[in-house]
Amino acid sequence: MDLNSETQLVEAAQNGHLESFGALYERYHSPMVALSYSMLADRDLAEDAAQEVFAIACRDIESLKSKERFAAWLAGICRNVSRQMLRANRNKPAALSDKHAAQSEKDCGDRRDTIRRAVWNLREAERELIVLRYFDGFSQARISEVLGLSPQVVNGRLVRAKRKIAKYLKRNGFTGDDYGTS
Amino acid sequence: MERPENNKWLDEALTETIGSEKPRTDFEQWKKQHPDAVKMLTSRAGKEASVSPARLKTRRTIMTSTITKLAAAAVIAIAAIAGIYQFNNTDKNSTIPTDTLVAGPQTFKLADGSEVTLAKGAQIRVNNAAGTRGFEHIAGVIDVSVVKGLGEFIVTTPYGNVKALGTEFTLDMVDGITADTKEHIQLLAVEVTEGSVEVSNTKGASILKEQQKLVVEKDQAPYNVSQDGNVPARLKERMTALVDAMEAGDAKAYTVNYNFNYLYKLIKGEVEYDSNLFGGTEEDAKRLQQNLGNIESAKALGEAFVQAVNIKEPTKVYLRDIEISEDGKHAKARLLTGKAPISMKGSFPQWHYFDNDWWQVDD
Repeated sequence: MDLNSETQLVEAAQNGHLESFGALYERYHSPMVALSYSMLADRDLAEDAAQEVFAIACRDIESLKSKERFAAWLAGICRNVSRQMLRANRNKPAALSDKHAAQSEKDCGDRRDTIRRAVWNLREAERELIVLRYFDGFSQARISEVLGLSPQVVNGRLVRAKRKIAKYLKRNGFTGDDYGTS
Repeated sequence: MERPENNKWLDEALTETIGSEKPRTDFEQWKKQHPDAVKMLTSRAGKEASVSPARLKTRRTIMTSTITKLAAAAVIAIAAIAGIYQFNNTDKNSTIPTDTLVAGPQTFKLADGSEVTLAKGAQIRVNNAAGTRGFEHIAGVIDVSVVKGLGEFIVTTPYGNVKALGTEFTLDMVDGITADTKEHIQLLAVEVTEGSVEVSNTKGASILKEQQKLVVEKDQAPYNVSQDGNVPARLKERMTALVDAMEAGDAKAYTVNYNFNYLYKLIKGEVEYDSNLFGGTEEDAKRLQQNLGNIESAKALGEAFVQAVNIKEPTKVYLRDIEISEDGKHAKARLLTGKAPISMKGSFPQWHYFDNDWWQVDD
């Protein structure tokens, strides 16, 4: 990551430079959708949440003191907005809802539904990493930037999370044979 | 044994299940959908000391001109003299360059000696150049203590101006989305501790006296319940008691507004259900009768309400307005409760005049 460049963008945005804020938007919109999706399990809601995250960031960016922590600050807003939407909808995550399960069954049978359950049974911190990794194929380095975590922490959590998912799937009768590889 | 997390099939399974079409990132579209946020950000342009990237690019070219260098040297000399003058004539806290952004938490002393205490997240912009007293309130909660006898003192805000002459007051600027209805709330709440202030915008003006509160919303006239001629004096007392109880987190004080003699009779079947006198539905009333049918007295009912009511801790309350029915016997208020910008919620308590008083019939 070009930290100096990003710090300059943040500072310029704090001084009212809209194009700089636009550059930050372009850089972080997709990760915020993915992060929100990890909590809401609903693509449309996640897109709405990301829009709101940038509206709040646009209004409050002046209050951000540590310019180099912009991504972590944005992720914090994203978690708050997503939690708020979750409460407002008063639904369990769509991944586990009957509606979504029915759709999954229609599409791919139980397999995809079970994998979703395995992911959404993870702790929030682990689920965030898994979703960021597989939602849009973010690299571990990119995840590390977005969440403000060290690459070692990201790697360790990803390994643990995948181990839990594999264990869950195995317990539910899914193996590599279902995918033709092992 | 192969580590499960290294299995290729697991990557494939997760990609297939979670992988999604890349979100459409369109900043132009976002700008169109969020004009207020864009306006707030761009309003800061050109007012700060910091330099945007675009300006950084042009700096080197401009500074190569000899005339520019001479002009710059002159400006620096003048600025240095002005700075020395200011340093000698004011204390450290009040040495303010033109257009300075001040962020909380801190207490900031203005050039005239007036003080502004900024809460965390609050911001003001101070400009000494115009020679008038006052500043621009940008965000958050601030307490202002104005030095008396020095003339007009004006605080400008996006929603209206606050004019004071030797007084103490609190400004609370709210810009957020309600958690329940997703309404975009933009307002300024004004509370006077001492003296009086005038709050005005293009829609109207209101004088606010000691211990009074007022809310001015974006593009709306200031609303001061104390000066709302449509609201009966007794209802104002009830309304103030409700707001005070919620802000104090006092469940007992909150329930004082309810007519427990009437509710007791309703539970005992001594009076018929009337939607004007009981805020809930007829089914709600029946449920109340089932659950509290054995209650022994109106007093006991009141005590049960204190336990049941969801007033557990102090919360911020903004009174937006009160609507009175045509016959003058029913009232409905619009409140905002909770902390902005995330936890705000709408609340719509109602009152009805019966048994010779105004009683809260719904919340």
